[in-house]
Amino acid sequence: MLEASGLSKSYGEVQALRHLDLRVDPGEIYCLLGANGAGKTTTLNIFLGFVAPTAGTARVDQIDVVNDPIAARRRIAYIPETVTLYGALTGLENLDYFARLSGQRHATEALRGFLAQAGLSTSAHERPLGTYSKGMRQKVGIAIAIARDAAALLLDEPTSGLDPKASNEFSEQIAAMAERGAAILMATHDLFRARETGTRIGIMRDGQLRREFNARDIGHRELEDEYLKTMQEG
Amino acid sequence: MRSWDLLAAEFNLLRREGVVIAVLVGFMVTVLAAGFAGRAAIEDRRITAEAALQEYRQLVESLANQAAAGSDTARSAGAVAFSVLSVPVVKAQTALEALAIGQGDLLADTYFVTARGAYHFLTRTDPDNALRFTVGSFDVAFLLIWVLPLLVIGVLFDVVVGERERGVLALAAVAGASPARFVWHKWCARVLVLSVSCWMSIVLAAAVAETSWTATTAWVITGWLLVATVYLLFWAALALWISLRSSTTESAAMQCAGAWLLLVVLTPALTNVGASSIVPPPSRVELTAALREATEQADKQIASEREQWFFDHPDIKGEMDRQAYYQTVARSEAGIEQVVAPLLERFADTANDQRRIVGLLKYLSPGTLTFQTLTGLSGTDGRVHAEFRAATTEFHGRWKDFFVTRIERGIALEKEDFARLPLFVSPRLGGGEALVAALMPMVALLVLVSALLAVCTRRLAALAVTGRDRHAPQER
Repeated sequence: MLEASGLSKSYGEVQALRHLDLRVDPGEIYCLLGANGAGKTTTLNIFLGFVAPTAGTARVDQIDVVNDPIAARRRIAYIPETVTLYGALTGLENLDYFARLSGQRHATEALRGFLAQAGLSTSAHERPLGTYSKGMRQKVGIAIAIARDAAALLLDEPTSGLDPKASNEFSEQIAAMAERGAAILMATHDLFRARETGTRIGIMRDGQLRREFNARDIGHRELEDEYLKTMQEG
Repeated sequence: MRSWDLLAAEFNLLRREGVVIAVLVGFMVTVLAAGFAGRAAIEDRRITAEAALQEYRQLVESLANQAAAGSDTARSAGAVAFSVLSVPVVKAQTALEALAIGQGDLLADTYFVTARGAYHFLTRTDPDNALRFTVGSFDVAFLLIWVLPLLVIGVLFDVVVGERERGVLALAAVAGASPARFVWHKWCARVLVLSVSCWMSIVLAAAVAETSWTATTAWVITGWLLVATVYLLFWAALALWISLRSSTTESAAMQCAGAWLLLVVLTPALTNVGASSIVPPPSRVELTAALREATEQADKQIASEREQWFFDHPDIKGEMDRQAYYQTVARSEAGIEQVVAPLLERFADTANDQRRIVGLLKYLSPGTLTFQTLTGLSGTDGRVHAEFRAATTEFHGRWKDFFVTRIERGIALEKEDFARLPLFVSPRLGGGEALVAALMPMVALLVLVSALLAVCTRRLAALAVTGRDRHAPQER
């Protein structure tokens, strides 16, 4: 579903991404780990069509993101690190706004259903987003993704700043989306969450994918050791 | 999403953000208050002028009757000219004057003209007062120049950078909306809301401030609306440009505030300083000293002539005859005027030169440019005052001639003469003429707006929808 082949990106002298090969299949949650500047966000931005690769290809559902970015984006949902959206609008109105931006019009009941699926309590639907916690706002982000019914979901450090409970709830929603067949690529710093939520884990450094694991095959401690080892490599 | 849907969504957002609506309503109420204040000021001035004119008319009528009855004083051209009669010369009220008091609080709107030298009525105002090119009174023009930019900045500074920080641009892009189109619609919707608030404020203020509605008023109000819109567009384009090149909302807010400080406060102040440095006004002390010296000289001259007259008329005891006395006064007035006139001329020249310099330097600041244009439209700028002063001086010449000719020839005033007293006609600025005068500055500002929007269009085409990529260059 998501496929990167020989993907490279440089900004002048800076090589942000070097020959990245990556594949995320439907139902899979691929967690990209790495320090700041490792190339995680650049990878996501290329898939999202926000930046063009210097070399290589990125495909979403076989569609090249450079050749046909609009068609590629139609198959993607995205949750950024901070889902601030519009504080003056309610959760329901924010969801309706972004659904309309996608060219979709849903009945209020359907919108409520998406928010409920994302784990947002009914009492919060009509409250202004400005009164939400970060965890609740992220749930609105998930609801936007659910409403898009996209084949692939890209997440950029979505659990940063969430408390453990909110983080756990968030992981459950992501897992539920994967079960519905979405291919999920998540950039994160959270080793524990990556191990708990992901089906596969990749560790990046200096724009390269240095290590890759099946989440089931590696324990928390082992993952941490591998991560630190990668960070210490030359 | 269709254009109308994008605009409607933005209108709804603004409606829901109570602060924006509260600030816009606050602005409208303040403009309305300024309209009322302007009307009160103009009304006050009108009543004072009307009272002076009424008093003058009654005095003329009374003098005419006294002349008919054979009163020596009323029949003496010298006594009437130098001791009894002064005519109030009032600048004609112009359309929407109350919205831009302009320099009306510094430059005279009424002179009390007598047959004495021009110095007598001109020096009763402050000829060396620095012209207030930058700051006006608390009037609608002041609010538009100083406060409107702050409103525009407040509503638009985060139109790009704020949406990027909120993650909205990225979500919109993923949703299939072109980020440039998305931003343009947001910008247009906000500019439209600001423009409508601004237009409503001006129209409401004009409605409460204007007492007589004519075709000229319609022209002038059209001019006001156009000028205010162009000024608003300038700030809106500048806020968009700053928002596009900023990496954080804080930085955008600081840059917008800096631009306001530079363009509305500092540059006009420097323009003022520049104008008075390049063409410094003559010394007021010099004028007073010259006036005193000339008066003393004249007094000596009168005394000497009086002594000579008694010497020539040894048969006459007591008072010098009225006719001879006023002939002496007329000559001494002419003498004083001869000494003082060049100095007064220098003051007038300085004011004109300063006005010319500001006329050039005003292009450095959209605030000054717009202020000058608005006061020009309302007929309260320095140029209109200079025309009024010139018309007054011309009228003074006719007034003086009327009396001095009679004094010199020893002709007594008859009742009919009072009906033939010269009349003052204040120069009037036509609405079309005012609009034409506003055209050039507005075209200049429009060119600037177009250039800014062209740059914004280019930047929007390569808009970064997320600031998360640490490798991407942050300086855009």
